[in-house]
Formats: sequence, structure tokens, C-alpha cells
Amino acid sequence: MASWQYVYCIIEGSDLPPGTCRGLEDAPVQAVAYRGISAIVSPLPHRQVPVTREHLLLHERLVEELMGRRTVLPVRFGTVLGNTSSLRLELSRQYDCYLNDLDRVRGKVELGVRVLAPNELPEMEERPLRASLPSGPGTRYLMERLGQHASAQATRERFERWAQMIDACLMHHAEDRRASWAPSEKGVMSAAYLVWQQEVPVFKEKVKMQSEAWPELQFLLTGPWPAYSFVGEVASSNPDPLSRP
Amino acid sequence: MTSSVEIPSEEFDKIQLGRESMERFASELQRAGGCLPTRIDADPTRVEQGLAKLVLTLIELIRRLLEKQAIRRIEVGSLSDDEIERMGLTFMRLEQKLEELKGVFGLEDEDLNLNLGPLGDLM
Repeated sequence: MASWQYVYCIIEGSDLPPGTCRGLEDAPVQAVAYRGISAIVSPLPHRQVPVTREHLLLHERLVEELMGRRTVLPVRFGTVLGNTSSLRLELSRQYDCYLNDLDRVRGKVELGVRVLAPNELPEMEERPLRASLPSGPGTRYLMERLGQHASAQATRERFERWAQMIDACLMHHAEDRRASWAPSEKGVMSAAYLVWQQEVPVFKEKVKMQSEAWPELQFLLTGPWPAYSFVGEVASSNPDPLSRP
Repeated sequence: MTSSVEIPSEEFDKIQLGRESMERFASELQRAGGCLPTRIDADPTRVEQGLAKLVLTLIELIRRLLEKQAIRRIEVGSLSDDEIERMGLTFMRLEQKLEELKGVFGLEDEDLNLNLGPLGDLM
């Protein structure tokens, strides 16, 4: 007998929209309601869900199917809670947060923007190093490290300037943003934008314009997604890292 | 160019722009440690290597922090020439020793890192 509940999302409303597809392991999906909102769940006989492409896509497909019909707070893949009682307890504890989040994301979707720098960056002006140092091996070692550090710092600053310029343009067409500048060696920015559904074509056009304005950079625009980056986390009674933020 | 990145079917295609660069983005994401945290390998035959990896990662982290500190002090001019030479020699020898130990335990540079889950990689 199933003793765990796999959580897909929180929706507005106390009932499951008709025709919702089945869940993981072909289990029936149900709505666990609490004061006008519901957790959408399906039963699991075990508390861990293998991270497979099929499971990830099924989770996402179900959430997006509901997103087409209700305001949805998507829950991270792999979130498993004990039973419907613990679910209702969680809904009651976080009720106000869920209401705020539902208000925040109603009518909106998430679009992901990633920008990469070219593999070969133009040479930057070298910062002057300390002059007239003796040329012992230890000194040469540290001078080389200093040069690498200065170069990495200059690159990072350049990436941050690019990211801030691109972001300033895109934020005119978004309600909110979660972003990091220079997130990796070649990464200029990695951002999620919260955009009104009807504004998605305009936002897409603006990203395209930015990619044309910066031909040396590579842009990736994905979505629309449910607003994963703009909602709080559903706590879990399961300490398994797969079901935690 | 044939892509080795598997793009979902049209029903679930979310790429609005940048399809031609998917390989590069996928490889950058993987390199930047954007995946779910891996489980601890409790294989008893690999415990020794696992411990060595942990210890050497921490030593490498401390070495990098101390080097950065030394570089900052060189930049502001608070180290004498002798101090620069002595510290440089110390860091050089420490780096050489770490390379030897990595060789003993069959570890590569990319092995010396720790995934901190939502915080990303340690280094």
C-alpha cells in the first residue's frame, strides 16, 4: 500500500481540473485541498524517485498542463511527503506564503536567459605589476599567480558589465528577475525572468535584439516555464537530498 | 554539426533562441556543477581514495586562500622582497607536494572539489 505522496505543485482551487493526466508510475493524481488551495499529488510506494528523463518530463508535463488552467506554484522534482495529513499540515503552515506566491505569479511565466562569452576573449590591457622585484623562483611563482589573478578579475568585471547592460534592457519587459553575473568561467549571466504571459513574444524579441547587439556572445533563451525560481520551497519531512531545496 | 545533446520532442521544446549553441551551454552547465548533488560513495574499496580526496581538497582550498591573501599583500606593497621570495617558494613546494599526493591516490585536478548542493561547488 502506498505510504508516500509525490508532490507536483500547489494550485488555486480545491479540486483537480478534469482530464488531468496520470502521475509517476501511472498513479492517479489527486488534489489535497486546504482553504481554497490544493497540493497536487500522486501516491508512491517508496519515498525516493529515480531521477530519470522520463520522470522529469512527466513531472514537468503535468505541472504545465495544470499551468494552462490554473495559477500554479511548481514544486521541485523529487519532493515527497509522508501522507495527506502531513501535506495538509504543510499547507496550513505555509498558507500565507503560498497565497503571496500565487498572487505574485498569477498570469506570468518564467523565461530563462543564459549568456556565454566567446572561447577566445580579446586581450585586455595588463595591469602594471610591482616593478624591480628580484627574480628568484619563489618570486616568479607568485608574480605568475598575481598575473593570473588580475586577468581573472578583469574578465569577471567585463562579464559583469555585459550582464548588467543586457539585464537593464530585459528588465523593462519583466516583473522580476533572479540572476547571477559571471556564474562560471565562460558564463556571462544566468537569469530567470518573470514575465506576463502576453508579453512573452515581446520579451523573446528583446533577447533576440540583444543577441544581435552582442554578436560575440552566445545567448540561450528557454521557456516559458512555470515560475520555479520565484516561489518558496515546499518543506519536506524527508531528509533525502532529492526532495530538499 | 550533429549535436550530442538530446533535445526533447516538439511537444516539449522550450528552446526559444540559441538552439545551435546547445552543446556549448550543456557542457558549461555540467562544468559549472549545475546538477543535483551526487550521493556519497560508500564502496569500502574506495574509502581510502575518498578520504584522500576530501583531505587534499581541503588542503588545496586553504592553499588557494593563502595564495590569494599573499597576492593581495603584494598588490598593496605590504610584503618585502625577501618575504615574497620565501612565500613563493613555500607555495611552490606545497603545490609540488600536492601533485605527488594526487598521483599516489590516482586523483586529477577536477577531483579536488566538493559539491555543496544549492551553494554550488566549493572551488
